[in-house]
Amino acid sequence: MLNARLRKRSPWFGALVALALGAIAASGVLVYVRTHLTSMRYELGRRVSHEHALSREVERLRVEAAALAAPERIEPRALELGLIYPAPEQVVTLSDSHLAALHDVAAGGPR
Amino acid sequence: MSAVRRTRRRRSAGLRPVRLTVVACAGLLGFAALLGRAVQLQTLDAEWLATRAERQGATTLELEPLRAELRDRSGRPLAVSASVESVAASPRLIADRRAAARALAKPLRMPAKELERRLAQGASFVWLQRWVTPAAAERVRALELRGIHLHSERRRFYPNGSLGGPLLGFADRDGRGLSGVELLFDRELRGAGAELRVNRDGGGRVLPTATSAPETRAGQPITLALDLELQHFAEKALAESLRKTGARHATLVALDPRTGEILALAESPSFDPNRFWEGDSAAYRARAFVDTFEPGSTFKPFSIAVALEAGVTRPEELFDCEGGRFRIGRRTIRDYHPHDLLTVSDILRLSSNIGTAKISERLGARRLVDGVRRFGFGRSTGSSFPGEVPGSLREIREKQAVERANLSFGQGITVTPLQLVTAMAVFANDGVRVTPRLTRAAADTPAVAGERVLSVRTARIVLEMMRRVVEDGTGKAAALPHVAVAGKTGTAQKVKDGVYSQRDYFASFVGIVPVVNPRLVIGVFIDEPRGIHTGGMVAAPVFREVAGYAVDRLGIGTGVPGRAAAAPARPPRLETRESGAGEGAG
Repeated sequence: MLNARLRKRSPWFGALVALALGAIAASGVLVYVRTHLTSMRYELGRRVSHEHALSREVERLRVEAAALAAPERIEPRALELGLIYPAPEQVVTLSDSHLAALHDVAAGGPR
Repeated sequence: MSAVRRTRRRRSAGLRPVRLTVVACAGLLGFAALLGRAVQLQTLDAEWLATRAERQGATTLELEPLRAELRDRSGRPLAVSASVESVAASPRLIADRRAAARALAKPLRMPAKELERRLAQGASFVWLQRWVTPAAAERVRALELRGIHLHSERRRFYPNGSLGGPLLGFADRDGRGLSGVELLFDRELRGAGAELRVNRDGGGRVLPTATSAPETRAGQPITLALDLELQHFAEKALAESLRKTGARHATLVALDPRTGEILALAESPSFDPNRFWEGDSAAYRARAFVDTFEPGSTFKPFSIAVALEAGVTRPEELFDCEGGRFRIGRRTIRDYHPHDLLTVSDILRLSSNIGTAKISERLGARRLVDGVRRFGFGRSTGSSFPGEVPGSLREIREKQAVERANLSFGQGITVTPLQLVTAMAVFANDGVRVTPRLTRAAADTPAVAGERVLSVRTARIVLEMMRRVVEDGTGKAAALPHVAVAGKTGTAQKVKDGVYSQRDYFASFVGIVPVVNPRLVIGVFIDEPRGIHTGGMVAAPVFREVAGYAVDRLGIGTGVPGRAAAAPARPPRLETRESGAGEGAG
């Protein structure tokens, strides 16, 4: 009843209300999109930081692995276990002919 | 009553549209104003505002790629980089500096007074501790102290400690190579960084930008020719020798004569590049490249080779060694042990100064100097190592008989250890001189490519002579039980205050293993050994120990690739006491 009367008395009123509602909706969407974008940027920032932290951890682990494999660390432990470097007298060098003979033996004797 | 109500309702109904219209118009005007302002901010003032925002929140991030790895010939890391954190402070932002210092003292393991002193400087920025451990960084972060920051930095780690320290050199806190291989390959290892403009929010957090990060060029890993295990063994042997002889310093160079690859370059004492700022700068020197010495008798094979090549003598020709004393001009030359008649071969085997001087007399000064220069003496080896020195080889006139004689047995000339080993490799390479190289040669590198210095025949004759030095001469202590070795000893008096010292010697041995199809040239140099000081007694045993290990490790003489060439790398082979033939067994 009232609306009908308003429309009758002010023909632009409806259009103005629609425009206002449209502007409010558009503003709402805009605010939502911008807020969402900002939160996404923060989320992306967090992920990037996490990735950097993981990279740093990988770097640290590589350094640690290299240090653990250092001869200066391994050798004392091997010596503790009773292992020794062979003296030059203990190293027997096999010539090509020796190796060929060994291959023959492995293959079931010379043919 | 009802008529009055009706009249009021009619009036009220008449006013409502007017009020609503006014309110709606006011609202619309408000919206219009807001929209107008938004349009102004987003379009008209956008540029000005963006500039202002950038001034306030934008910052430049320097994207620096990690310094690339240095690796040994099997790919094991010798130098690696990683991000570490450093603790800094903005003292002006700290209300209670004493309390902050007390809180930080424990995680940083620093005296609270020292921290307080640094915080008292009143500067806007001060480092409290660089390169802290991850655990310490976490503890500092947990304190949440205002004005205390953690900065991510790059650090160079040398996981093998002092192993190969002088050769590798070090990179400083800013990741720049300052010495050794780190300096030589600095550009390749560093790569190229880039800059990225980013925005920070009010809390200082970096917000990702719409533009993608610019490309950085990663550094290129460098694979050295060095064999980590052989290097370790060599350094251990040198350290033990230093302990036994009381010498000042010792150097060992192991070279593959076919490719020129430097398989080991050991110095003792060494230094730990992880803590380069604590070491004595003299310890940084890779003496094999930058220190020179008079080679003494290790130089004799070169003089004799030049004479044989020139055809002025033959291996079996006899020379009178004058019973150990021979006068040239005003100088008397002496032999360590007196000899009479010796063949050229025996002159080398027994290391006769007089015999070598007499051979050089036949050759003449000019031909001697020109001949030994072709071995690479008096010029850089071409290794490109920073600070490498060429040594000195002076011109000698024909009339200068004393200088010519001195040169023939290694006096009046200075060489670097690497120069001497590279020159000795000529005999191992059938007369061809290779350039020593620090990086691993590519698989398709032709074996023995270089400048011909001697004929194949002369090279093999001298090699055979040097085999006799080890078999039955001054170098017997270098002999290996199952592999033939050639080599030459040297015991040079050091020049102190312009005269030859009677107390300070430079003992050396340079050997080739095996004699047939040589695979390794090893030079051992011991500076100022105390007590027993001859090269044959001091340096040759170190050669024997290291060459014995290398024979096993490199598969020398087996005709199959050694373990050092195999990938992936494995730790050194160790045998149990039970499985070996027993220590000292022959």
